[in-house]
Amino acid sequence: MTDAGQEFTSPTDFTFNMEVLSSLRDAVGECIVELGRENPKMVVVVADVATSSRVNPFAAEFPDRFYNVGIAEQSLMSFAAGLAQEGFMPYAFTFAPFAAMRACEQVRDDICYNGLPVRIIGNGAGYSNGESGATHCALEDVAIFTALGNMTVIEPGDPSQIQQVLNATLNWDKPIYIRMGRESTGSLYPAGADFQIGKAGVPKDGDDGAFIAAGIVTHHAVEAAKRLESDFGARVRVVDMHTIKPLDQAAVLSAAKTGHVVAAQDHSVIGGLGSAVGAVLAENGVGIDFKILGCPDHYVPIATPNYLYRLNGYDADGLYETMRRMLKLGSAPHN
Amino acid sequence: MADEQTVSRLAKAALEIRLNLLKLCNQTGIHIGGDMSVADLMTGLWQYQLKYRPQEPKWDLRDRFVLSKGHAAAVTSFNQAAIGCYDPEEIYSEYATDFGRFGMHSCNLINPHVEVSTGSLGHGFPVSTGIAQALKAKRNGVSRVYTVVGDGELQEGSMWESAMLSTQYKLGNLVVVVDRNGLTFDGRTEELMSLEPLADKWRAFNWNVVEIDGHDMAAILAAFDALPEPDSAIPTVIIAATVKGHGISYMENNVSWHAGKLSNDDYTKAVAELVAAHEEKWGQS
Repeated sequence: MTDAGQEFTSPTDFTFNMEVLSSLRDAVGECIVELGRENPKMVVVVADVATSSRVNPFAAEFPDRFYNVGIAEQSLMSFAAGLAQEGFMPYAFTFAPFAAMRACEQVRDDICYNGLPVRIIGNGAGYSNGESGATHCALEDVAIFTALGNMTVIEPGDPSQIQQVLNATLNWDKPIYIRMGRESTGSLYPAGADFQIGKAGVPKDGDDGAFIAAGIVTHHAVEAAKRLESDFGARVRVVDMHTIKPLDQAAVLSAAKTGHVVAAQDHSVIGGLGSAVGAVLAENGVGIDFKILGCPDHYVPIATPNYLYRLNGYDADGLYETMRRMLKLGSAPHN
Repeated sequence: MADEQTVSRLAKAALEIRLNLLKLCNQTGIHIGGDMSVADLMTGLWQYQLKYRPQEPKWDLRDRFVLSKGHAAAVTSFNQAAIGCYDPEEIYSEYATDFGRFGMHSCNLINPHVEVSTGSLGHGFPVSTGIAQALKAKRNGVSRVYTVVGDGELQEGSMWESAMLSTQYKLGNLVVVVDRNGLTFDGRTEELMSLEPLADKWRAFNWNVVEIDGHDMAAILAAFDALPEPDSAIPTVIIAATVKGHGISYMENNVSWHAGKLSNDDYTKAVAELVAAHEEKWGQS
């Protein structure tokens, strides 16, 4: 079992790509340079997060396509909108809470209302910045951004996936919000696996129950599913809902056929992936065992992400326990 | 420089715009106060200064216009009609109707002559900074970006983020026109949330600051004539002293005329006042 505070790693006995890449942010920094070489219309705009977002290499290679607007997130979004209005494809970087809340109306009016292909990359989603306290955590960003017309919302969970996401953004003509939370170092998929915006992945198959998760929580879910299988022989599916909007409804309804669904997220239990999954179930008249896990409806003191994941039951142990009870599997043999 | 005849022609054009606004305001509620205060500036901008092809709204070398005070949509639409974007009758018939092209604010989802949809204050100027930078990046050295802002709008913090950015990025192709009518919805800016010394604030942000009487057509055209070249390095702000509800005795500086609909009696009186004042200044035409 993973202890709180201990760095999570992917399981080793699955056919996963275990090539250890650098961090999610490092991967973005590297990928952004490559995309810049591919697409001359691509520009990067940051609000004083060039260093923390690892985009200095882009700035060095393309000084004429890099803009730092200072600590001014509203300006970041409006400026990016203006660039997009004239045919550029801006990638706007800030922290997730500032993107979703400080600059929410700029995103809504200037980018979404005007239908402009700005890509917003927000670091510190969920409790991933827990050590910095609530001001630097975005527990509401999915609720806010999924409610904006035209907006696409994506949550990658590892460095390999973010590269796939960024590649996919080149051919997506709508505004996109990419929430960057805590990451795993290993990938859930073999190298070169197919990735499509709006099409959920299934890193582990099964028909006894299903986890529907995004980002780092998908990795927790794979760990939990693996243990449920080795402890009880239960085959629990993991649905990687990397695109939270547009939601892959077919993947939800297919998972619902197992009769037991746990939707888990590093986001408020209100208005996130869990709510979106629940709405699909309700609208389709599906009555099954269903549980939403996520951040509680209040703010918490400074803490490490792993502690908070454990506290709220969406670390691997918590997901394991919730599904075990849902499937009425008795106690874990070695507990 | 604009000759006397041009100034006179545009003053007459501004009267026509005001008469259009009054007629619309007699038909339905509009933001008449702020439309009237910016009517002369907008006439000078659209009917004298802007490089714009009504038949080719996406012409790459056009000047860009962004209505930051989005509630001045009617005065914009009538000026666009005056240069051939629409028939004025279309404005009367479509204004605030289902999916009509005209309304209380500007919407580019349905109107190709609206560069950027606006309404909420503190957005148009900030978006203009991105457009201005994009034009520089595209090596377009001839187009300018004009954005008309309300003075009350300068109470929004986002405006000053953009004021800072514009000089940092040397947006010499950007022109901000401030409609300094001194009034917001609730009252006088200097009583509610003071903006003065407004020109000094812009100077402190290293802008090229021009102060004019926003109802003096000769001064308006002269300010446009004197703008630095689009490929220069310093953005310009034209702070135009104006009067909300300008030219109509019961409306001038009256906060209750921020927006509203004119009764038939008020309409008749307003038209008579405007025409009389114009004839007194410019003679019969």
